[in-house]
Amino acid sequence: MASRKKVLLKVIILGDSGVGKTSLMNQYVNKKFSTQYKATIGADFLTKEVMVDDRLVTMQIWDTAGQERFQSLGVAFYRGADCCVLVYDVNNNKSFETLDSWRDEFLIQASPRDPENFPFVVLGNKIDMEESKRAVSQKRAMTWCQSKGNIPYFETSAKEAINVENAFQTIAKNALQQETDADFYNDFPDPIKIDNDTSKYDSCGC
Amino acid sequence: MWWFYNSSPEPQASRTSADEEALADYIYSKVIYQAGVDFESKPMVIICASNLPDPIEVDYDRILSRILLKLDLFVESDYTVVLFAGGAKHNPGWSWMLRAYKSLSRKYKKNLKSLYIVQATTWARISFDFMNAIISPKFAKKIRYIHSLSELANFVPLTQIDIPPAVYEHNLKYEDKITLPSSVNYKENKRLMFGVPLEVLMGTEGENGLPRVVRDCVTYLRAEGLQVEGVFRRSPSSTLLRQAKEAYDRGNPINLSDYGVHTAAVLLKMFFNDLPVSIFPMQTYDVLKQIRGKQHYLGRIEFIRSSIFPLLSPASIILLQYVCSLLNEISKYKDINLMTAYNLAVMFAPNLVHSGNPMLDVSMCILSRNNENSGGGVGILMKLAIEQFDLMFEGYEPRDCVRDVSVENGTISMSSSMSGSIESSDTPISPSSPSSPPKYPSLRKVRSLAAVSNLIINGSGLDPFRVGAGVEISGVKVQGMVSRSQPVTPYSDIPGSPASMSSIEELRRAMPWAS
Repeated sequence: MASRKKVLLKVIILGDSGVGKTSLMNQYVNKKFSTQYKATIGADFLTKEVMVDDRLVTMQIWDTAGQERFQSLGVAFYRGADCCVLVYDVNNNKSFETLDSWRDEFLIQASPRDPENFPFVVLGNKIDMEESKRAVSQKRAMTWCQSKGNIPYFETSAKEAINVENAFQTIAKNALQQETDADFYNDFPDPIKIDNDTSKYDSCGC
Repeated sequence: MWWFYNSSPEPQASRTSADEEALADYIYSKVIYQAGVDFESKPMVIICASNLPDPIEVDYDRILSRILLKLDLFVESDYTVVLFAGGAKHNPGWSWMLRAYKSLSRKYKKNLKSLYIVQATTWARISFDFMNAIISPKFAKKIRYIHSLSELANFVPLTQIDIPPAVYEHNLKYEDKITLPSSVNYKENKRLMFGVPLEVLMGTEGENGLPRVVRDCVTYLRAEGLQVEGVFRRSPSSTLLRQAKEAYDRGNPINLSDYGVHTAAVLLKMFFNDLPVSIFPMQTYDVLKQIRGKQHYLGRIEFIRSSIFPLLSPASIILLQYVCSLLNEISKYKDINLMTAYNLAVMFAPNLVHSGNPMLDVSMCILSRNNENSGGGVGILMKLAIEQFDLMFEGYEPRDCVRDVSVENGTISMSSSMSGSIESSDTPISPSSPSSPPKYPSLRKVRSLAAVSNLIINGSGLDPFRVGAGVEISGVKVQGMVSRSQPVTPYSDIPGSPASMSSIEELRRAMPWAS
């Protein structure tokens, strides 16, 4: 059993185009926000080392393209995920309404062992925008999260770095929980041999 | 609908003629309109309750008089009315209904052969029956209540009717999908739009003109979508999208402004994505990959025109040019809509490839974040085609000149809208095949520009396309980008191996710069 060894956690970020998936990832990993409006193609990932409950874990965060066409890539990207982050834009009703289909899509494509208890985290992004633009109330979002098995919910702003750190800490924690559970079910030894090469993925800090 | 808010508290006194005109326009395009003739060649009048405005903002008596005015055009001979009752947001109320019913004097009732009331609420049904029982039992016989649009299709030619999205949406409560009866009436009309080979839609040389959905979407987006933030990036409501797509496949008339800009943009992308053979088939990948090796953008354009365009079907080039001209226009408003050529290429390119290997497709469409001029062949091509539209398609006939041939109701109607002129006079275009591209497009302008710019480039010793070819390393953490030059088995195919491991191993191999 993996007890003190270094763990790699795979986190997938999903959500409609333009809700801020790339920005959230960049804010968390690089502490940067770009006002550039730039679409993502295919998928991109960044890694970051974090301490979770006194354990050093490497989070590999996959940022996916929100557009329709490459959803067929899902299988390749979603497999082996330890946590799925669903992002919507609190000022865009439609992006909230599609959370359901993103979640279903993920569960179908990733086919986790225990779909009922697979960790999701929902982020309502762009709370820095003026209140009058807000289209999805916190209450409505929380009700949805509750109905889907108490998914943790955070309201974030990638632009102003509000709640981002917090949210990803929970993501890491839940992912680690999932990873440990997955280990428990594994009959064969954990085949992730990342330790020798961690330097490649490590950062030098900045 | 600005006139809602224009109506003053004292509507009788200060109603302007412009106000009145706007109301009339609205009523006659959305509330009551004709949809050709029914199966027995009687004029078919459509009334949509779902498009009735808010009674608080508009005086319903004004609407009633408008409706009667319209009906006056038909009452002299037999006619049919289809009333879509479902999906209505505003209830006109009892007293108005009664007044409306009373205003339908004998003149209106006499020649009305059948009145189809579609998806009436139980309440509306009871009130209708009640009024009929009291006022005219004879008239009641002409009324038929219809549950679903599929049922309606048995009585009237459904595919002729421009049905508002709210009615489609309401119909979902009764049935999941509209099925047309297999009668002769629909056979000749049936025109699938999505998932049909381009040659079938447009003819091998593109002689049949543009597919209806493509023309509609581009025309509408050009009129309403140029300045909309995130056009081609934002997603529409999936219900609306599905309704619009199915309406096109059934051959229904459809008004895209009822569906919005994002629906139209995604519909257009979907048309390309659903093509059985994509615009850039897999056989073109090897040549597409060579674009990256060409240096200056002019060299790339020349290469694309001389080596890639000839590999594409004439219909593909027509479509590509037609769409890129729209994307080019959209990119000119990038300060407002935020859609740069890069963003538009990223959003559009993936719909143009379909090799069956999604990883390979991604690698073709990729555009590097750090160096926007680097990436996969289709990505680069699309970005260039958007930025340098005029150069890329120089000598190709402007698409609005393509004669629009459409087969409707079995008769061929040809409308020739020759507008716009061909800029370069050195590329004569054979008038016999107006839509086919010139066999060897002139590259004179491109060549001369290339020569000039080579001088400039060489002089400054800069090569804008050689920097950072696809390598993405963020200063702090290693950043991966899935881009492969070789087709590799997707890792999902490796049985029994946890993907997290295999994907990392795979990625490491695929991305040597990460080590």
